[in-house]
Amino acid sequence: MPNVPATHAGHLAPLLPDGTIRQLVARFAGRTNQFHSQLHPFRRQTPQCTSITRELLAAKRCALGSGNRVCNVVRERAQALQCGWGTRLILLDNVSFGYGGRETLSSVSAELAPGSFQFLTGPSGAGKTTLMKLLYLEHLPQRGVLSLFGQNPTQISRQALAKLRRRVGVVFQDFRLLEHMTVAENIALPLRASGNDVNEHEQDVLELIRWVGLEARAEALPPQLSAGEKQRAAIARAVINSPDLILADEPTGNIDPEMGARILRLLIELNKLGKTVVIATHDLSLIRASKGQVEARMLRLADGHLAQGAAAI
Amino acid sequence: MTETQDHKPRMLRPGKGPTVLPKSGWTAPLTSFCAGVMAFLAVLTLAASFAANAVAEQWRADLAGVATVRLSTRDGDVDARTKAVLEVLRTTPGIAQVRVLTAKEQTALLTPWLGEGAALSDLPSPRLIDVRLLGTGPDRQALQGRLDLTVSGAVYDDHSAWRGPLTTAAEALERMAIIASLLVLLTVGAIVAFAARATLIANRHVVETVRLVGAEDSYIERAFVRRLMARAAAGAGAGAAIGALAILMLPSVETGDAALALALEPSTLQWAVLILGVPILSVGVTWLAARGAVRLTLRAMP
Repeated sequence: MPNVPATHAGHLAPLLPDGTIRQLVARFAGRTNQFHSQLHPFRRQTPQCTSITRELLAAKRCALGSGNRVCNVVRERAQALQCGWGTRLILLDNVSFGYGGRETLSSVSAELAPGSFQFLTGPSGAGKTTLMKLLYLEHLPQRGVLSLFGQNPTQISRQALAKLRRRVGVVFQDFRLLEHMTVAENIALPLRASGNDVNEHEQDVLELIRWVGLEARAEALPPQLSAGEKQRAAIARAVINSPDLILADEPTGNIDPEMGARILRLLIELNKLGKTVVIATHDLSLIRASKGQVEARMLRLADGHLAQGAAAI
Repeated sequence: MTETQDHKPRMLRPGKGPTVLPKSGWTAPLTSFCAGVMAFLAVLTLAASFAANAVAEQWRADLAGVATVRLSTRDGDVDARTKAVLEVLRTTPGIAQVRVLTAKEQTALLTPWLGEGAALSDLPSPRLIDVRLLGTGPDRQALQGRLDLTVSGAVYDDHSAWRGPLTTAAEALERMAIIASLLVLLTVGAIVAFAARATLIANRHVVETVRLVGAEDSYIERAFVRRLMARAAAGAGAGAAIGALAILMLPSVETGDAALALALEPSTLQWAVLILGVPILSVGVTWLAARGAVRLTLRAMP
């Protein structure tokens, strides 16, 4: 893995075969650029961004033949994201949400920059999962404004909401793998749900399965998997559509510390590929483990309020 | 990639794409069963509707344009009186043809009621004159007046007294059968709507997950509707086939009545409606009902 920084290569060694990450980046970067150019009219109208998109497409072609270009592609893509949405990929403005009349989140305001790595912490019941559900659009704010990729999900059509969801990859706390589908089928589900012919993306699926080290379990059903295997399958499913934002809710909550560290390294690596990553966790050791590996920031929730906003760790 | 190519996951093999929805277990055949029963009933009620329509049409065709003159045989010289009646009829506008029924023909008319071998001569039966009409026929009251002036005991009967109620009854029967068929189809729709909603609720976790990974409502709708349509099509096809067999196996009624014979023998077009139309309509109703139910349920989700 000569073209990926040594620190990253070392972290990924147990999970990633040589060259896989380069192929993934080249493939996913290309698909995402195409996707953005189709769906983000604002960026198309900006001359600078249009040229960046063009450069990215050219860089992607180079990347297929040269691993050195890969990281450039990713970095430029992160810049392109900033062109579209300014410095805010996620904007929460006095957002409140509750269940059955009881407010779980009260007037939460925060901004998350594209390409950033965020921890969302707080004790159990602080509202972490509720906030994550708002971010992955399972819930919509009852008060306040949520803006995701420059779009307010309460003001767009259901069709546009579905398209917005495709730009968010989610690792659910309870995995939410469909039990009647194999690991491979689960990983390919976002492609299928987006109307893609999965057979056309065969290589993506197979590479991702290898990437997360589940090639021997590709045909297993979720009940046959260990918690760590489920978690890895969930991560693969979260990134198959090459989302710009990855949300992981307690990604290490059900697994042993060693597997937790490996999954953290995977998420850090995805961040280095340009993805914005938000991890909700109450596991402080996970946050400590990230030190030195990534420039992470931390949002802390307490009793439904934001007690600390986007502080550097 | 030889390693991965050797180890192709099931999903990626052509023609083996997984369905988004899990199998429904023992409840799956219930939708097919209900659709089948409803299609069976629809075939029977539609066949009844066709039969009622055929009877009404036959009666209308047989009795319209035909009248009868009954001449009492108790008074005087019957032959002379018959000749006088025929003369009156032949000179009346609106009458095309007149003919005196033979004794054999009159006996044949009474055989269904009196049985074979009944001696007609022993009965005080009237002489019957068959009258074929032109258009709407003569003025009934004017003709009866002329007959009364010419001969005694001659009664002109254009069958309106009993033709009207009979055709009205047949038409009402036809309407009821059509309404029953529509109700059966609506019931199919209601059953499917219940089934769609129940399936959606039972698979709520699947629906939520599929939506959260980016599926549009139309994608989920297609998955549900296709499944329900497949089940309804299988059930309705079988139900319609069994219904058609049941009609074929009905015992034949040999009354010599052309109307009844026609009723028991649907035309080719009517068979097509029963065998193909009912399943197609059932599937159409299923599509509408399932689509509506799934859309309403999905819209209740954020």
